[in-house]
Amino acid sequence: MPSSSFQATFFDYLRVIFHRIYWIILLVFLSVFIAWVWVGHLTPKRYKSEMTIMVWSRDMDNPLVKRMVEQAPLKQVIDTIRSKLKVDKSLMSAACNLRYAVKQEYIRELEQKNPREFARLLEIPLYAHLAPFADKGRDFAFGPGSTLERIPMSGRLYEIGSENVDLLGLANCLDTQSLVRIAAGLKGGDAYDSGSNMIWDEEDKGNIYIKTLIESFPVEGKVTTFREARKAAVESLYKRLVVEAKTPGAGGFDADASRELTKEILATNRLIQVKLRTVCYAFAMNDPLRYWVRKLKDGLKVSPIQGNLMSIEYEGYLYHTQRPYLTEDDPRTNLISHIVLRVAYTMIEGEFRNTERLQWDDTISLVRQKRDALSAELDSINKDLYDFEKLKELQLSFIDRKPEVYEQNPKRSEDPYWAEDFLGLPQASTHIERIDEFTKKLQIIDQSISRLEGQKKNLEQQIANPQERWIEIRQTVRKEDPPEVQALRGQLVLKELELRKQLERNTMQHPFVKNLEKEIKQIQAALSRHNTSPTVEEIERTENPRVREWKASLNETVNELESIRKERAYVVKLIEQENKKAVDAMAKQREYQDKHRRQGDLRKKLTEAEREMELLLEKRKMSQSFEVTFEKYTDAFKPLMHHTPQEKLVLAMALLIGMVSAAGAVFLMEYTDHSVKTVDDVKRYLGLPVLGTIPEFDFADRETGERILKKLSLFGSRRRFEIFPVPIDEKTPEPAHMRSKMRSIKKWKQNLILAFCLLLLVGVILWLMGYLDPYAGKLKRMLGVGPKTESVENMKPESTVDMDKKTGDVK
Amino acid sequence: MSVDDAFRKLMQDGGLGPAPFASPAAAPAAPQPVRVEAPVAESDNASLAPTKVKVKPIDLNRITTVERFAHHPIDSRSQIAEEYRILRTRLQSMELEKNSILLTSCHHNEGKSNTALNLALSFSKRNKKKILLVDFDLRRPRLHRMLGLPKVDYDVVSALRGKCEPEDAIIFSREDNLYVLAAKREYANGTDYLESSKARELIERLHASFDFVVMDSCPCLSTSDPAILGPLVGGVIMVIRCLKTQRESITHAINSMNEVGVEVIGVILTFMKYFLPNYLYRYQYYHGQYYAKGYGYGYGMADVHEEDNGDEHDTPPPEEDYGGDDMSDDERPIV
Repeated sequence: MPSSSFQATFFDYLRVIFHRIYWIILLVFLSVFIAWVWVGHLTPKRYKSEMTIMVWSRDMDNPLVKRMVEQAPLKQVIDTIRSKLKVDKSLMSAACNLRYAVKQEYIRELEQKNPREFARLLEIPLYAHLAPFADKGRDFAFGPGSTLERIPMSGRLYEIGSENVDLLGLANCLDTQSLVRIAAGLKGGDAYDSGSNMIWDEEDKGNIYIKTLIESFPVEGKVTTFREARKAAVESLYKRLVVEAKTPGAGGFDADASRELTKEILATNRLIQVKLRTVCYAFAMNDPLRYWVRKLKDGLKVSPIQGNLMSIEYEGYLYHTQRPYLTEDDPRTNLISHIVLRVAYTMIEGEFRNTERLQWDDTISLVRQKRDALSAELDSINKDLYDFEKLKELQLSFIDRKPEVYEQNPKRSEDPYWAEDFLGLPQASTHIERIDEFTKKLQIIDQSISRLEGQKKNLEQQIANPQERWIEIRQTVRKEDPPEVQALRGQLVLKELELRKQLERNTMQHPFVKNLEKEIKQIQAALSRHNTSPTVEEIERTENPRVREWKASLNETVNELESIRKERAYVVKLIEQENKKAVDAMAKQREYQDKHRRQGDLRKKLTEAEREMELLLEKRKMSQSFEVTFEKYTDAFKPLMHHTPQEKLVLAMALLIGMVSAAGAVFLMEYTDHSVKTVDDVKRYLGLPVLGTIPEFDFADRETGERILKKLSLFGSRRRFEIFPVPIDEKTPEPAHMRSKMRSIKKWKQNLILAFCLLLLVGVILWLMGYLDPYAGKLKRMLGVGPKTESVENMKPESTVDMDKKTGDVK
Repeated sequence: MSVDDAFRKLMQDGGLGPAPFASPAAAPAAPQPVRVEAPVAESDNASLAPTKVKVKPIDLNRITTVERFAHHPIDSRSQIAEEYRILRTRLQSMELEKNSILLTSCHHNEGKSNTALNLALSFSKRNKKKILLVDFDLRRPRLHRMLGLPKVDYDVVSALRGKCEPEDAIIFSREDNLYVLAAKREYANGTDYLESSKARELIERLHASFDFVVMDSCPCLSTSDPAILGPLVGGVIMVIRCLKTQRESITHAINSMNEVGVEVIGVILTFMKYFLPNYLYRYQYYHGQYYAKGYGYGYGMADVHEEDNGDEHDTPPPEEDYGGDDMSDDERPIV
């Protein structure tokens, strides 16, 4: 066999892949399908719990219901719950609280519904749950589903939870190992060995009682471990109790001992309760609870349904694995989810009621404050007004009784205003009248004053110039001068004028001036010779005889004027006083009027507030007594789906495995397949020349195509395929036409396979993206079929209430 | 012996009427198969001796003529036709002892008959030479069905057995320019007929009368027909079906042929599949680019468009124009 230098190239591998592409697709999808089946059907079942809470009312006209529907307090409620669950810090504590509530609910449920089972659980030895902590080197199988592991400090016992450490939340949400560590840290850094007992829970104070038990009932034989000791003690105690129950006193207990025993029994009962709680704790402790809480957060929906109906859609997931206490057939599995739902329901309902009540209280307190303020203001005004009225009455009565008072006390009549200070409430009008009076008096006084002052002035003038007056009197009697004198006087005047002129030009020594002076002296001397009437100087020298009289009268007028002025000042003062009093009276009057008006307004407002208050109280009363029914529809009893926590990983791995296996299988097939495929094969293995390569064409497969076409009979009669004989004159069929049809059929087959594969691929992708998960409801939401929900991001929590404080208030 | 010599000899021997190419109008309108006494071979011993036998030429005028065969011709512009043309060219370039080839394969259903038919057609379309297609696959003859041959009294086995002259069994298609000697039905003992001296004589006559003879035969692993026919023909070609024929069986078949003294001159790969897309395939220069759409030897785009839209037409597409046919209608041989 001639061999050529044949080397496999990249194209050869590529050819192989294209050659076996259907095998590859088949294997890949086969593996993915197997994984899908495994994920979907062979994994543990997942329980889905759904609850719808309907808020329902018959009376749509009721304002409360209207408000409920319109303002959607449910949204607020859900926000509150969500916020409670969402608080990052207290997420775990919220989960703990929820779990705690579930536990309590479970115990109660068990006690009520299945007392026999409850009793059976009671009969389980008390030490069962403490066994792992007591024994050395033992594998811890602390209850189903718990995350207990082997404690490295095995053989030692640690006291967890003293009185002052709140470990309830921790105990609920952490595994024991962590608990031990934390407790050790709380104790001061060192995990210490109590050596005798341990406390599991905060509420579990049983260790004390057990100690007492051990002391009071010493076990025979050597007690190696605490477990054995307690077991023996409890057994003996129970035996004696049974005996005591049958015949009192036969157990060896007297009255005091019986009393003590009841305490012990109570203590042991508490232990029992703890055990039960751990049983509950076991199922809920597992990791999925976190997921559950997340689901609870996401799953709360509000959807208004026609008219007056509202609903809260709520869904949660519970996971379930094979455990001794919870199997698939165990009705308690369903019970648990039911309980969880009920707790959530009570939470929701309680929240709703609470918010309702708080809203009412707020509004009512607001109105009440307003009313109180109004009434207080009104009271003060009333008091003021009352004083006013009283004073007025007093005054009026006093005015009525005025004459009597005057008769009794005549001095009062002198001062007409003596009672004003006492009454303090004169009328403004009286003051005004008085002012008018005083002004009239003032006018008269002013007139007399002016008159007296004129008189005084005259007298003073007369006294000041008595000679003048005298001259005047004398001049009136003097005769006219003779013409000679008048001529002389004229000459004199002229001479004096000339002299004045000369003095302006010359000095006094000038002869002209001296002459003129001489002449003037001569004229004056001449004039003096002709003097007939006395001159002014002469009259001045003589005294007026009436001056004495004038002075006496002046004194009299001055005295009179002074007295009158005093009177006037007094009157002016009076007027000012009266004016002041009048202004005060006016102000008081105005104030009174204002207060009166204000009183009326306040009365109106108060009546309104009181009416509103009454209405609100009525409404509140109505809302409290009004029946808003909460209906809940739960569906927690169907195991709906199988669940794999790592489904995406599984599918991805399946895809990978499928691809690898497909590649391997394909190359194996190619290796074992010795058929000739390419020209290179011929050259390599046969060494013969290749004369031609005829590709696969439809004509070669004609007969097969005919068969298919006959079966399908898609194209009518098959005359053109009649093989033998063919008439000579008949036209040949259209080969191209037929070829295309053949090709189309082939392609149709190929496309069908490809479409199927594509569909599978799309399905797998959707599955991976979570659109096919019926619980998520993504697909429904995407298609717009399902209920529209508000996104979580839009609903911001308004109030965050700490769940820690409300641990017990869940129900 | 060339065809011209044979023809000349034929003319000298007896007046067989006018020459077919000289006077086509004189051809009989409805030729009837005429029975002529076949020359009887002397003996089986004589056939063993490699003596030169005087070959009696075939009377082409007596051949049954039809207008066309009812086969599905390949589009001459297609890639497949081009492949056959390449095959034809290679065969012509090879120097064969005789003007004939035998197609065989390892197993049946590997594309022998198709290849033979299309190869013969590609030969016949080329020029005015006389090409004969013989179906020696007597066990599972297919050519008569593929070509939709008319009913005739004689077939290749009759000729082999000497019941008739070969011209009685040969059918000529005027359009395809192809002579066909087919088998009418399946013969379980076909090897017996082929082993006889008459068979050798017949093949000699065919060689003498035709320019080129393409023979279809049985699979060589299951039968001995190719081994019998192999020494008588110019060359044996192995048809290999891709993705089916194992290379071990091919080796075995070639060895078995070599044992008889027959050498396989080459192989033809049929049902070839190209898995890679054109742009990835490394032989694309070989297959793809010369045969892009609209490319043809001397054909315009209009024809191409008509060809493309031919599927939608109710009327049949225009008569096919064979590529490489240089002949006019007048030049075509009319018998």
